[in-house]
Amino acid sequence: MSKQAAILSVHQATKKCFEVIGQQQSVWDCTLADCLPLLSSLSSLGEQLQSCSKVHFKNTPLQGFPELEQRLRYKLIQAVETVLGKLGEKMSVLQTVRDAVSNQVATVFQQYEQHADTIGLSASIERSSLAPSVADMLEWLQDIDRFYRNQFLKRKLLLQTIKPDNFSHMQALPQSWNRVSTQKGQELIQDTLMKVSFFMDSH
Amino acid sequence: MEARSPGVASSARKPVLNNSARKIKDNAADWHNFILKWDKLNDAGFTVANNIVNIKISKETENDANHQVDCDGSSVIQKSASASEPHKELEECCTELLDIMDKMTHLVSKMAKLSSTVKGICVLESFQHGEAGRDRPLFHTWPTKQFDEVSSKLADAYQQELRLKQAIAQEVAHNTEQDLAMVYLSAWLYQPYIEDSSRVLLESMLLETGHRPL
Repeated sequence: MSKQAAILSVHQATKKCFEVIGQQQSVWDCTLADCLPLLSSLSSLGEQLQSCSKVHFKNTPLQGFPELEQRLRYKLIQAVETVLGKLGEKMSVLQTVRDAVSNQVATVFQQYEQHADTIGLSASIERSSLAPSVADMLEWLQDIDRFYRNQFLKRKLLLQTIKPDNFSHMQALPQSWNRVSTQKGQELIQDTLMKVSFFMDSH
Repeated sequence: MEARSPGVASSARKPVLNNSARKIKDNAADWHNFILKWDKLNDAGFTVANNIVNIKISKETENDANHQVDCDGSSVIQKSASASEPHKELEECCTELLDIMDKMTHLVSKMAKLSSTVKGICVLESFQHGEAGRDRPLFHTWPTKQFDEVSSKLADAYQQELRLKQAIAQEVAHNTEQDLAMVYLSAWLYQPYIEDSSRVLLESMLLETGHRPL
């Protein structure tokens, strides 16, 4: 295969990858937005569970009701589990995004590795007015791949630490969740897609 | 006329129901409708109770703020003018809540009636067929006594839940403790005495009586 053909093949794989990233990014953002009301529910349930544990039912007008405290706690915990189930579904979507991006990035790297010798080092780092260098693009793809992996893992870990008796943790969930998004991370994908926009439009 | 094999539901063939079966089938439909109505009232009641709690909380914080401004005569007039509005709103909410309680009480008495109707059918069956009851189930597999058990369980659960709601409705407008207010609201919304099994019992009754396809 000629050098040009090899570069073209890598470019094609890279374009496809950025296309997928563009699509998956909106799925990711939508899914994150969907999580917010669920986290608010969990926060509210945390408040309710805390109040339930602080109140001495025997000293209230509700003292005559049999097993009220246990029954109420059971219902609240059941509600927590329902919300966690829904969050689990959202996490599955995020996982699909992560995997889709990962697979595409892996494909690009595979292509490059096949043709690396043909392309050669200097061509790999050569930039043009229309296209960033192959090396640059590969680096950005790795950054994006790492971003999604990192974000997914952090959010998954956050959800795994939820326990119905850890009231303050539950109440702080919406803020903790938002803290996982970093300013730098938010801009990474937008900026990268901007940098390759001419490349994407060219053939 | 037809030899009914248990567990085989033919949607094309509508079995001719005798009087007891007819009554029980209607009974099951009534249970379903009453519970739907109850759920709607529950949601409406929660909204009102939530408003009451919020008014109480804002009144408390306002009282705390006004405490610091009570020496000057002019501000006292200001205080009473702004204090009457939430008071009026509170009264309106309480009236609304009482109205909802009336509707729920009426609903529970209708539920009790459903339960006693089924008991009556069981007594009649004992009279006609002896203690063992009829040899063929009225529908698919349930002996008539089972309808009585289900109706009683449901009626008892809603009766208990009603008592809880009555207590909450009486206390929520007088309470100023935040945690207790939260407990009142949670207990109203999550209905501790309506267990998951109640839903399952209702659904199985609807399946048995043919209201739901098998």
